[in-house]
Amino acid sequence: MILHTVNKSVFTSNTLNECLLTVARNDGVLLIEDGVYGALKTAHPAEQHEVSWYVLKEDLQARGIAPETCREGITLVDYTGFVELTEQYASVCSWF
Amino acid sequence: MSNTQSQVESDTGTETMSDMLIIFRKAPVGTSWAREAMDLALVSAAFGQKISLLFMGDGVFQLAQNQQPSAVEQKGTQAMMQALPMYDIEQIYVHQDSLDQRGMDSDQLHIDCQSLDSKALPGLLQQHKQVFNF
Repeated sequence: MILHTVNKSVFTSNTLNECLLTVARNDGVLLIEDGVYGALKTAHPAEQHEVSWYVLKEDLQARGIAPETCREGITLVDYTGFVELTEQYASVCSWF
Repeated sequence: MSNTQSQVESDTGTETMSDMLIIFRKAPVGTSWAREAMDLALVSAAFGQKISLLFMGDGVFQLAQNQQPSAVEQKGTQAMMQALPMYDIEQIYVHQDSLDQRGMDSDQLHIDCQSLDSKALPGLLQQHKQVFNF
């Protein structure tokens, strides 16, 4: 049960794909900062895993990304939700 | 290689967890990520933590032989890596696909590493209490 945070755009960096190589079932992936571009419907992360996907709402807003343009199955969380996620998962692993 | 993978998989959940996994993902020259990560490994080991290392992505370039960082007035991590056995850091893994993509050979690295394929990676992370990414 690891929460992985990713802060690089999937369009310029391999960071998200490297993260996805290491995730296990029941892990979570939270997209933050430029990582939120990976939530777009047009972004196709390497492989779909049985993980929970989250994206930070404030970082979407800051970049003018409408939630409707995000893939289905991604949960929007705000900063408070971010904190709650860090409580839910056993540890946090940050990919940058 | 297959022995290594099955060992990692069978360790998951059965053996006691190791304390820390440090992942090296950045190329060696131009930034201090590699040195910072190696500092963390050596210091933590000195304080009795059980440490594993994983090289993946551009981090596998840190394992290349014949690096001469002094050519650009940098120090590199070669000397620190040679000290790993003295700190009882023996769980050193390298992601085979990352080596393949970069045209590198696992028996031409400057320290001994166990090769892991992609499907062994999730199990490796799960068997450590903490994962540090550099």
